Amino acid sequence: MSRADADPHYPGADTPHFLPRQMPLGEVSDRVLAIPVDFAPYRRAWWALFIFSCLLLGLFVASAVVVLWRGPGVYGNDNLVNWGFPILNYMWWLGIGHAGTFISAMLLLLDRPWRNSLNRLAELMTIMAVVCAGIYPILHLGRPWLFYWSAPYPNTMELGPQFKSPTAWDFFAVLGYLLVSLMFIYIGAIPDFASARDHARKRRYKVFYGLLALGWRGASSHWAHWRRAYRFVALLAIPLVFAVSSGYSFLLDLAPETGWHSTVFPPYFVAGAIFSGFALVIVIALGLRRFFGWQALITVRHLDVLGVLLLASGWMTAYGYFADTFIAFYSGKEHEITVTMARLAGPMAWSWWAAIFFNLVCLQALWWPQVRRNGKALLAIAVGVLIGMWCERWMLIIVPPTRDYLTSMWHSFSPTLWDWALFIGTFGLFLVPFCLFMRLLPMISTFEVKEALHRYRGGADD
Amino acid sequence: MTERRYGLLADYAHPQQLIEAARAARSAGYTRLEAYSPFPLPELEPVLGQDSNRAYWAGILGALAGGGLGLAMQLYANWSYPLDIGGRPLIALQGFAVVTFLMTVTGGAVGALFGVLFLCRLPLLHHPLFEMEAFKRATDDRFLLCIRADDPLFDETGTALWLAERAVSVSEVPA
Repeated sequence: MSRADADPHYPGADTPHFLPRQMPLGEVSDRVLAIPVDFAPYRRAWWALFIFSCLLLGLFVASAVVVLWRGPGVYGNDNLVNWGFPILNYMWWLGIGHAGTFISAMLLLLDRPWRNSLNRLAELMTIMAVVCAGIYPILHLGRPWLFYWSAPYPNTMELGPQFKSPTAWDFFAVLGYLLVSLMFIYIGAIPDFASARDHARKRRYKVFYGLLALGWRGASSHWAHWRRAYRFVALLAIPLVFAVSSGYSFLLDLAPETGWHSTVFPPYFVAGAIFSGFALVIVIALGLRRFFGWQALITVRHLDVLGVLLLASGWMTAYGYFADTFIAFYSGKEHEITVTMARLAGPMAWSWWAAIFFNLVCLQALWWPQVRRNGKALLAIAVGVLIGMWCERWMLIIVPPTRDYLTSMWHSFSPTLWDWALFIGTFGLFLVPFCLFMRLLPMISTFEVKEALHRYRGGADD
Repeated sequence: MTERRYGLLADYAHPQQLIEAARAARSAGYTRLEAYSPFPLPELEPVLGQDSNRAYWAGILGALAGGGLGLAMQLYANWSYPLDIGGRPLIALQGFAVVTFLMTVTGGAVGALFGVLFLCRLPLLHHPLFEMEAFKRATDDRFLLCIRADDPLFDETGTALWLAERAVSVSEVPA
């Protein structure tokens, strides 16, 4: 038995999948698939988390009812700052979603087998983040119950969406992204549902997973088709990430506001999206690792490489800050400079400097491997990045409308109680389904981990 | 043969043994056989003649259908109810590219999902193999080879003996 097998805190084996080379295939099943069928050791902690999430979801439902009942006047938005919290939080959540697709699809095609310990949780995170994001534009509508007007459907007025507008693109982007993410995770999870079905002892679990597995048998002819379909969807999902996040940067082009038209926006938003998403992947990976005791499956080397990815995508985002600011001054346009100065030194300068502090200054600690491999330090930096990215969205979206072209129209913005309540509530919207996934789904893709273990054993299989 | 059977199921502990057994079975002339493994073994595809790219084609077809539908929808919406939006051309293909692309990707994913289900003949509620005790570990850590009873070379004792020489255990699958 090697040191890697004996010590769960060993910093990851020197294998492409970061797992001990001789880890038996059955152990992967036992650690992951046994959880839903034998949940007793986790029950208390799970219930505590679930009840907490339900309270947050209750807050969300209450705030949404208030918004529906009293109208969007309950938001802090007004005639000038007319996007406010709903669009800020929409972009924040949607950005977070992108890292899941990136980890799953990009690293699959690049053949990075260590991704197999992380892809399932990252994809589930994507789906819930897109749901949290998608609810915001709907609740931001004056009459949310007519949201289906955004969809092209036959109607007596013979009206269709205005397809030359980014708002119509956005409807398709969010919906398409949600559907593709759901299909990607489902194709990727069918073999695991079959494993869970065969692992289950109680009839209700057999039926539940049996229905989800659709009768999957792991036949080689099935694998041949499955492998190709999975890679095909992964190939489509990558440009989709770029299209969706550059798509919502185009939303900002709708308005004649200064400060929303930099040409660096599409790549800047893609980088920022993936950056914030990696931060949440780190938080969730650390959480699940501790919750289920998965130190052997999500190893210290996984944390290390996630730290490197966070650092790299952070620098890409930082390039966006520099380019955006530099071009504003270089353009020589007086109002561009006014808006940028409002970001740097205005009453809301805290948002710019908080973004720089969390997303750039604190981030540099990740150059040290000791920091990347220390769960607590990595968690602190990742949570900092989530806060920093939220402040960045504030700086980008809220500041320009407060400095309109005429000084007489300069304005401020302060979120209301219901703004905050709805935002905090979306964490419940994220966490409640996530708790149910933790309870019921294999949160690590066991067959992909087994495949990686098999591929790198060097012929001598278990 | 007095009772109907689906075939014979041989059980292996290592993927390499399964691949070798499948290769041997093919060279012995068996044609109706299937291997089962908990994860994809691409090496098996050429051995069993299963390296078909039809799943890709299903995805491509879905992508083309989705993209075509997306573009057609936008053309139709503009022709049926022309609106002058800031003096832009009625058919602004640059602007339509976004939704067309998004619908292409969505259509591709739908095509791949339904393609793989159709090609694998899923969903299937029951299969004779699910009755087998040995099959329970096919999705965990065992590797199985099934030679079907409708194979022209299938001979109950002969095939069972042939498999038994190579496998951990051989069991008969009732239909």
